[in-house]
Amino acid sequence: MTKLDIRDLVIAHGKNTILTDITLGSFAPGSVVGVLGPNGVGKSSFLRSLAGLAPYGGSVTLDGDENRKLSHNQRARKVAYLPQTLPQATNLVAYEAVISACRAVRHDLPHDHVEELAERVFDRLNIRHIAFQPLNRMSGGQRQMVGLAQILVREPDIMLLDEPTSALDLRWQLGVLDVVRNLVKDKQGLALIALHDINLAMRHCDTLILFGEGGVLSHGTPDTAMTPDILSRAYHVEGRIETCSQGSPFIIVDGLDKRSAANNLQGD
Amino acid sequence: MRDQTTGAANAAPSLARQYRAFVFKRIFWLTIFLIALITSFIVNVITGPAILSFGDVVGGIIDPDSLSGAMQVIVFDVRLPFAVLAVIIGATLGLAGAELQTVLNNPLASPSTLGIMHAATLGASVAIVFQFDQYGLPENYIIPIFAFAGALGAIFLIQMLAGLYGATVDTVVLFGIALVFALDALVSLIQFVADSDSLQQIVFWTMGSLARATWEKIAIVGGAFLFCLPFTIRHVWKMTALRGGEDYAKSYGVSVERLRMLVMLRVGVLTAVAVSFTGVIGFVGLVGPHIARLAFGEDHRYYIPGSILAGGFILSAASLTSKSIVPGIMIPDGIVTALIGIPLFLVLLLSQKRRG
Repeated sequence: MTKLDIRDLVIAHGKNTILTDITLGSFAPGSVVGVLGPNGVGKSSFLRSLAGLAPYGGSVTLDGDENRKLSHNQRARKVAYLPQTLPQATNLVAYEAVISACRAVRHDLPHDHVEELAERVFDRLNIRHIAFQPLNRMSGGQRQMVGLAQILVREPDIMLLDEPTSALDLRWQLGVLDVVRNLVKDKQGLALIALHDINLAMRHCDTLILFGEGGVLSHGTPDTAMTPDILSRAYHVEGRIETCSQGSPFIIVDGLDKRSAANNLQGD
Repeated sequence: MRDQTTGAANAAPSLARQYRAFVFKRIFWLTIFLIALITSFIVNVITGPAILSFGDVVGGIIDPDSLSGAMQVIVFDVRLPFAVLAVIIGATLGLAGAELQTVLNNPLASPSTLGIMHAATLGASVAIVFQFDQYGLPENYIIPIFAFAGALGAIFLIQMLAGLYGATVDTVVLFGIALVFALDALVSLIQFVADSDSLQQIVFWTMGSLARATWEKIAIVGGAFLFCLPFTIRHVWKMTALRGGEDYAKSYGVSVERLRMLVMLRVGVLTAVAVSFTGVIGFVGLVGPHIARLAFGEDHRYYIPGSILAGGFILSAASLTSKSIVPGIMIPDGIVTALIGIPLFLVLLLSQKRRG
């Protein structure tokens, strides 16, 4: 399995440094890692840097090889990145979109094998019913599922998913994250998933990385990385951590913290 | 999610089998397009002031000695080159337009968008006005050489600017549009200083015509087409992946900037070679890909051949019409192309909407 290692990572937009001194080391095989943080803190930039789509300082290695030195194709064979945007609404049916995604990376694979992989991913995600529907006649949620299928079809070692459930309803959100989690566990791979829904992250992720302004605010298992104090520091809200009937921790938000509430009142 | 569906998935026909049926329909429609192209080509050869039958033409092509000397000249030196050049130029422009619309992610993109046609016009205008034949250049090729140089110059200029500022879709299209305006102004300036004969020649050139078709020109355009086609075939998966969006394609390991550069270079060469012999034929590169997209979707394994066939058919049908409207007079193909292409395009667009 491919090993990802992150040390002294610095991410900047031009002269504006967004994240600095990020050292996460390597991740245990079979880990699902939630990437959390308020809007604009750099979650997407972090994932894009790991995917080799944005410049970075410091060191990101894949099996010891520096990420930025790998060719596009070498990297794509190990790492699959799902962008935050939905796939374009084009006149391409879902099945074609999925096999073309697989073929673009692995043009050496036999045709039968690509068909097998495609069949498997349509079943995994339960989207056979839209396999021959063009993307320009799909809802946003359906297009997001096709985007995911394009990533999962390659059965990559490392998945970088930027808000993969943003256009999905509750049932599909849970279903998709279950599929990702099962795939990661089966392959002993790694998934880093940027999410806005903290409860979804706490339920499905083994590890959370919470970004605050400029760097990592907390990093660890859901119950250690997310406390009422950290929640207040990251999002400026007051909340409690409870345990659901399934044993997963979840957050109940009581409202904005005192400072944000005062700012809002002043704004009024 | 997987558990809910396993039973249903086993019962349903495999997606690969369903996809084969889906592909069969696409191949069926590609065959229909091919038959339409061959039909328009044959009718194009038959049609003209001298009356030829279908049997005469087919028999003559198989066995030239079956035709009289005069008929051989008509078939092999006039009708066939004219009909073949129409198909090849149309196919070339269809291919160029399809690739450009994909890499620029813009359904309005065509070789005209990047100013290639306008640059060719500038080159031709310079050749016409400044009469370079007195410098020992071959007379029949002076205008094509200058038009080709102009078109290729435009594509290199855009490549250079895009290289300096980053070859994103927006920068490339913006440079192209800026170039169109600049070149238009230069052509107007040349027209302003041109004498009336030269002015007439420039205007006629901008209307586009296949009238002076020769086997030599066919070999050059056909050679460029055949040279570029394998590179296109090599990129079909990458271009299909690119239709999902630039970030998606990059995440599959496609070097999008490099792909865009290579395709633009290819489009530049194809368009430059095509228009240098015919003058401006702008509509095919825009509408051919649209027709293919409506009929075959955007899997480039079908979209590209569809666009080639659609382009070839449009120009073949246009050239046939250009000599049929007024007997004995050939209306410039650039004009007829638009007059035929627009209704055809609208019919397809509306029928797609109705099915939608």
